[in-house]
Order: sequence, then structure tokens, then C-alpha cells
Amino acid sequence: MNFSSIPLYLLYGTTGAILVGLAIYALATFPHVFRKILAWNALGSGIFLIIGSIASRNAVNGVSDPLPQAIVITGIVVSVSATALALVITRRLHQLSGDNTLDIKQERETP
Amino acid sequence: MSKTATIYDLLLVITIIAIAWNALFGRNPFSATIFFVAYGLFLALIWVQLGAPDVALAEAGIGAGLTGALMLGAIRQFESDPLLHLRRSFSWSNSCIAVLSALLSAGVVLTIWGQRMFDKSIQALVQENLEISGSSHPVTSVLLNFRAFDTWLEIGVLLLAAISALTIKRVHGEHISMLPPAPCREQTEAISRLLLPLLILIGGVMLWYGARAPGGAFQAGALIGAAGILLQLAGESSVNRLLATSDSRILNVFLVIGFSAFLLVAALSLAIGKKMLEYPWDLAGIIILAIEFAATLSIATILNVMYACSKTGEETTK
Repeated sequence: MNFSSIPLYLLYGTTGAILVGLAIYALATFPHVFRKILAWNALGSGIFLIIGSIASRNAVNGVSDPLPQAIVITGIVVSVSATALALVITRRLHQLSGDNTLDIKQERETP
Repeated sequence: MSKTATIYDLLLVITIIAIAWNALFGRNPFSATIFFVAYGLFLALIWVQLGAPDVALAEAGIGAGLTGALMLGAIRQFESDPLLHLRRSFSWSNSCIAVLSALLSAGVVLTIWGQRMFDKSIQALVQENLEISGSSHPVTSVLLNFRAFDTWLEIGVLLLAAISALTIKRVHGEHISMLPPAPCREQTEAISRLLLPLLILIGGVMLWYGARAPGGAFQAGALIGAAGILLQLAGESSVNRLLATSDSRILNVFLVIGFSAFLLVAALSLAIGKKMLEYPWDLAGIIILAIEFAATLSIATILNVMYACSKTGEETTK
């Protein structure tokens, strides 16, 4: 197979799409919050990769489109702050209820 | 026509999917977190391939480094939880979710392919106006001039997250743990002694060259923030005391200085009769540098507060 006929943006866009699929599956199936936070971060980076692949497709003279790049940098910083906040809230949840899931049923069982 | 893939790109793609699989589905949560850090670093390599070195730097520093540090700091709390080590067993609902996720991936690929004739780049517009933006680097001029409002609100989001984290701690009368999470080892001390000046130096270089080359406030803030986290890990008492005292003036000033710099510039630009955050041409370079400097200090402090809030250590509960 001749790889050199695949456009670069399509290869990385597809990778981003696969990462999004894997992350959504992990997010939905794992009960533990820590796993969910990891999956949520992977989901974000998959989406950034899709944005970035479009930016590189619209490149002029080898320089990627700067607007999507700026959006992605903003997104990375926002996602780290959301992760930190999620971890703090998870910790509080664990201290108050001993629970590490978002499952409502379990919460009722342990008052 | 756009660039085409090489064998290196293909290997990179296979590696990143394998690493992501291990990070998401690996049985041992600790090694899954390590895989997550590796995932971020390989993602940075992909960003270089996509011609976006700024994003690569941000991803390596913030996405891999700091998120990894946050996750590793928090994992000790969960390690003994059997739920985290749960084996995946076959169930119909999970297979349904798997099929739906696969369909989602396929849908996204089709959408990207469907947009192949669609060129909505603002590249030409940015290049045309680069001269008056006060920065010769297109990404910096978008972040701090053309779309400065977005960046302002982003610093606001960071500040809000840090304040929320501090509030959750303080409402319950809990102080941020002052002791280092583990007894400080000689290695930690030696490594931080070696890395600390380097991190601060490279952070400063990145801030200064951000106007012309890849780099800028976020990458510099991440590096200087990492220096602070190293100090926390090494048990440096002055940093820990600064973070632990709830009414520390210096801490509060550093937290809000980035947001305030934007606020000040916005108010001044309105006062001299321009649009909000519209810089005078001849002062644009100076204004961008000043905002970036303030934002770097804020980002570094906020990241440190977040790390201190989310790590698991011995509590000094009162």
C-alpha cells in the first residue's frame, strides 16, 4: 500500500476520531470517577487533534492556520483547570460519602 | 495541495492509539496514569507534524506534564479502591456502547472527509494585519490581540477554578496539606536543585521570545508553575506556608494579576475612545508583553494552588 497518497490531515483527523470513540466508550463504561476523569481528558485531546488537523489542511506555506491553534491552546489550559477542580470535588465526595462513583443508587445505600 | 503522510506519521498514529488504549483500559491505575503522560508527549510530537509548535509546547507542558502531576498526586487516594481495578466483563449494554462509539468515530471521519473542499482559513487575514498587531508571531497575535477577549475569559476560567478549589477546601475548615506527600528523598532534592534554575530560565526565555517565535504566556506559566510544584514536592517550607495560609495577600495578588491586567487594558482602551481591548498601534508590542508577563505569573500561581488542593497528603485539619 502506498502511504504517500494519504493526506496528512486525514490521517491525523482519523486518529482524533478514533481517540474520541475510545474515550467516549471508557467514559461511559467505567464506574470509577478517576477513570472517568482520565477518559474525559483523552476525549478533549482527541477533539483538539481534529481541530488541529483541519488547521494543518488550511496551511499556507507550511504555517498552520493560527486561529484553531490559539483555540486549542486555550482549550488545553481550560481542560487542566477543569481536571484539577474535578479532582478536588472527587476528593471531597470521597471524604463525605466514601463513594468514588457517580452512581445514584450506591449513594442512597451509604447515608 | 496539502501535505501527505509518511511512514513516520503512520508509526506515530499506531503508537498513540496503543498508548491511549493502555491509558484508558490498563488494569493497573498507576501505570494507566503513566501511560496518560506518555500519551500527552506523543501527542506533542503529532502537533509538531501538524505544523503547530505552539500547541506542541502547551500539550507537552500542560497536557502531559501538569495534568499528569495532578493525576499522580491524586491517585494515592484511590489506589486501594477495588472498583478501580475492576475487570471489564462482557455485557450487552457495554457492547451497545462500543458500537455507538465506533459509529461516532466513523461519523466524525466522514464529516472531516466531507469538508475537504471547504477552506475557511483566516490565515491571509492574519498575515495582512500582522504588522499592526504588535507581535510578529501569528499565534501570539491571535491570542493576545485579535482574539484577546477569548484569552481574557480563559484566564477568568482558570481563576474561577482555582477559587472554587480553594473554597471547597476552606468551607470545610480544611487547610491545604503543608507536609510533602512523602518524606522528601535525596533524589527529589537533587533533581529540584538541578531543574529549578533551568525551568525558570527557560520559562523566561519562552515568555520573551513568545512575541516572535513559538512560546508565550501559557507555556512559560506552565514551566514556572512546574518549578513551584517541584518546590512543593521537595517540601520547601516557604512555598508550602504561602499556599497554606488562607489569607495570604501575596498569593491573592498573584492569583488575580493576569485577569486584572486584561481588565485594566480593556478599561483604558474604552477610556481613550477605542473599542474594548483595541490597542494603539505603536504601543501594541509593549501592551502584549505586559499582559503576557502578568498572565504568566497568574498561571504559574493558579497551577500551584490547584496542585496543592488536589494532591493527597497528610491533612492538618482544624
